[in-house]
Amino acid sequence: MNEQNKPTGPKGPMAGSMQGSQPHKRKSSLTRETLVKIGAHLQIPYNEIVGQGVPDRFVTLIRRLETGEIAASQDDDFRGENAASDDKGS
Amino acid sequence: MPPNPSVSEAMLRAVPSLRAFAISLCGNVDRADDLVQETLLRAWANLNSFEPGTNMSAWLFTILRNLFRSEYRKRRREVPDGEGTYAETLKTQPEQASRVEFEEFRTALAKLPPDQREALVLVGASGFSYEEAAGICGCAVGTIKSRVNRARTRLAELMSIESVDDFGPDRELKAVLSGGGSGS
Repeated sequence: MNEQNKPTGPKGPMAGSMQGSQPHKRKSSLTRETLVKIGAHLQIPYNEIVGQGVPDRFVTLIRRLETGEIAASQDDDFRGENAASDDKGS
Repeated sequence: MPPNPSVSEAMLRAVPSLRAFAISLCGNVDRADDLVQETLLRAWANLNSFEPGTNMSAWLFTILRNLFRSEYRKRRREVPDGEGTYAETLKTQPEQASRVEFEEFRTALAKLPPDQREALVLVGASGFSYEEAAGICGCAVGTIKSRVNRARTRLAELMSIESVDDFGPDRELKAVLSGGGSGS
């Protein structure tokens, strides 16, 4: 066989799984199905809390705020949606 | 002047999700509810900062997160805070999943770095887009994507998931279908 035509082995994303003599390398990316499963596990307890609805204390709080029975004081250091965050890194 | 009633209702509608997110941060229901209450009070007092027509829920999540971060920094100076406490609060044992598997998931979730867990909960459970989650966390969209991706990958590693066949009831179902199940 000409040296130039010598097979060089599989290339591309499936190359690792096609090289049987190579030690098994853990997949770094997960299938979409697996990701969906993880999401589902995450949502079960979350949805359970959401399913509890609005506890009375919060309904009462909002009604008292509406009527002015209690007053919330404005903050000088309020950090809302547009506030700069100190959390820029990962 | 009191806020438009629709604002009040929008705030109330957001409460269940706020509670779930707060519990994911605090790991303690009572503390989480106090955090939600403080969030509503802050939001009410600063309604002039809210832009009508924008996402009220995301705005409230941002306030809650910032309050938690402030509180967390204070508490960290006082007492050690248990990381991963969200997982500790997940007492649900869903019928459709095996107890062992769910326990594994709780344990794995607890081991995630807080930033990754937070991003994963916002995107994977709260249903926010990457852009919205980035706005809430005050970081770049790419950072959120990276955190979510690393969180998912880490979860899978911790639970030794390499394919969907390794995960969940499917594994049991597969065993039953192949005749190897215990029928439990």
